[in-house]
Amino acid sequence: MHHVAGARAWGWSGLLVMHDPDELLAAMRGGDDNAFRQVAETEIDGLYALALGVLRNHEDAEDACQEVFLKLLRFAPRLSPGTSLRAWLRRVCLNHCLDQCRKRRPRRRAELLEFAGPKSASATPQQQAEEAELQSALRRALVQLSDRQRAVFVLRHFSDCPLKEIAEQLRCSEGSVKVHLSRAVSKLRVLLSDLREGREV
Amino acid sequence: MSKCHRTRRLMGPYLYGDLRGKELRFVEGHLAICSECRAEVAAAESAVAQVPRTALRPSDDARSRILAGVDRRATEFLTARQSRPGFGWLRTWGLAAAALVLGLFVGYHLPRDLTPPPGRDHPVAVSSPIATSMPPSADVSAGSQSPGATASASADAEEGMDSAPGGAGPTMRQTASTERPRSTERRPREVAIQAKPVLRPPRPLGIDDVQVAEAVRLEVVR
Repeated sequence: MHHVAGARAWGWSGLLVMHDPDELLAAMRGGDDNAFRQVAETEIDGLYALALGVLRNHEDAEDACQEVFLKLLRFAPRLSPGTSLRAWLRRVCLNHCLDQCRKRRPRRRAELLEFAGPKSASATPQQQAEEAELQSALRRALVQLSDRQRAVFVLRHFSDCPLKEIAEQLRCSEGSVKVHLSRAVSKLRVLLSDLREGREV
Repeated sequence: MSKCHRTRRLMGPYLYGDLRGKELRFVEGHLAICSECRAEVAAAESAVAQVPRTALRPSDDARSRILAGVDRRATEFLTARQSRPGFGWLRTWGLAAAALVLGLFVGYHLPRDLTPPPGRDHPVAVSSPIATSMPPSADVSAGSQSPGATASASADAEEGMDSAPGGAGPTMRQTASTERPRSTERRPREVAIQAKPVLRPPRPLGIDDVQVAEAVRLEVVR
C-alpha cells in the first residue's frame, strides 16, 4: 500500500479499541483513521442488514455500505459532538437505500432477497436443509412487504433500532411506525405459517 | 371489535417490548379477555422468533470486500483532499490567466473585424452594383429574394439554356421534364431586366421617344 503525504496508509489491523461512541466520534473529528476503521468494523453488520433488507440484493447492499462509510469519512469533521454515531449512520444508510429503491424500482422490482446467513459448521444435513427452507420462506415473505413495512421491520428486527429513531428516519410519526411494524409482523405470520405447519408435521 | 382492531395495530411493538404506559395496559387488558387476539399474537410471536436476527449479516467474503472497498476509496478520498489545494491554486490562476488572454485577444480584434463599415446605406453586396442601386420599387417586385440569390438564379438559368440543347434525342424528354422548375427560377432574371432601364440610362427608344423626336423635328422644320 502506497503512502500519501499527510494521509496515513489504510489497513484494518492494529486497531486501538475504543468502545465509547462519543470517544470514537471525537477521535474521528480529530482525524484519527483508526477510529474510522473501528467504527466501520463495528457498524458494518447492522448497516449491511439494513441495506440488504431494504435493497434485497447483496451487491447493492455492499455498495450502500461503502457509500455510507465514505460519507462518514467526509462528514465526520462537521458532526456535532453530541451526535449519536450509530443513529447517524443508520439514517444515512436508510436514505441512501430508499433513494436507490426509488431510482431502480422499474428495473428490479421482481428481484428477490438473497440471504447469506452465517452457516454453523456443526449443522447436520437435516438442520442445513431446514435452514435453507427457512431462508427461502423468509426471502419470499420479506419481498411481499411494502418498502416502508420492510424498512421498519428490518430496522427493528435486525438492527435493533428504537421506534422513535425509526420514526425520525422515515419522517413519520411513531404511531405510524407502530402500525407498519404490526402489519409487517402480521404478514410474516401468515407467510411463515406454512413453513411452521410443515415442520410440526 | 374495535378493541381487537386496535390490539392488532399495536401487536408489532408489543412483541418487541416497545409499548409503554397506557398502550401496554390496553393491549395486556385486551389479551386477557380475547382468546382470538391472544392466539393471533402468539402465532405472530413464534413467526418472528423464527427469523434469526443474524439472517442479514454479511458473509465473511462480503465483509472483507466492503472493508477493502472502503479502504481503497478512503485512501483515494484523502489523497484527493490532500492534493486539492495545489490543483485548486493552479486551476484558479490558470483560468484567470486564460480569461485575461482571451479578453485581450477579443478586445483587440473585435472592433476591426466586426463593426459595420461607416456607409450603412450601401451595405454588404458591393460586388453587385446592379442589385444595390436598384430602386425600392424594383426590390419589392423582386420578392423576398436577395440580390445575391437573383444573380445566382440567373446564372443557373443561363447554364440550363446552355446545357439543354446539348441533350441527345432519348434524353430530350428528361430535359423537358427538368426544365419546368427552372422556368420558375428564371423569373428573377426577368425582374433584373425590367430594372435595367432605371439603372442604365441608354435604353432602347420607345414609341413616345419617336413621337417626341417627330414633334421636335416638325418644330425645327417650321
